[in-house]
Amino acid sequence: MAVLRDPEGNETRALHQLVSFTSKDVLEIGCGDGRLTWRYADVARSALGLDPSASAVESAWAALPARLRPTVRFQVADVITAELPAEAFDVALLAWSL
Amino acid sequence: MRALRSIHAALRPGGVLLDIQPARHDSWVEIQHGDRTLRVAELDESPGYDAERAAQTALQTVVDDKLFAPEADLFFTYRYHFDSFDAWVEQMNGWERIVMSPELRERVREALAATPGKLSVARNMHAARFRRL
Repeated sequence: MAVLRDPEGNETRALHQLVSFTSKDVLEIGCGDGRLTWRYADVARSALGLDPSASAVESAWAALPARLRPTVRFQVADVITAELPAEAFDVALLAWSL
Repeated sequence: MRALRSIHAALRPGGVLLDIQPARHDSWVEIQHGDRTLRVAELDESPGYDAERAAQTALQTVVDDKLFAPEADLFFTYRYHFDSFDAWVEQMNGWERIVMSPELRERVREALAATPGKLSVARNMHAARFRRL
């Protein structure tokens, strides 16, 4: 049984229409398995994905392409308890997470 | 609220918050039949209304508090395509903010039998950009 999510790329288009990720430090809250991370991480300077689900973060690490390893990190945490550095990100992405 | 305040603290001044959420009242189960898209049933998203209201209130509060300023927004359709009726059922059962009733299940099963095609769910989404002040 399989599910294809947004093969039309509408979410990716909306994402890039509203925000430029080029050379930006991105904080993604509720990153899940990294589904959305792969849509912008190629052009970002760095990306930190947070998710309270350990299994989701494990899936994200497992799916992380080698080319993105220098710039992308995932962490089991929510944005309140993550102890994020102050004023360290250019973009915060909240997808289905608020 | 606390989450948005934490995000505000983590963002550089002038940074951007992008919020993507399902928009209310416009999610459908569809059958793709050749070139046609047949709308089979609208999804009942009422279990998510409280959370949606809380999110909107939180966003409005940080705007009122001048932590963020709304800049732009748009709507788009996010589609899930299923390779079988069972895949659709499994997905729907996992969505906490959707009512998966026996009536809906039966209606979709009957529609699929009458009009064979690919099953999908189309969700209307809202994306909004805010500037960190």
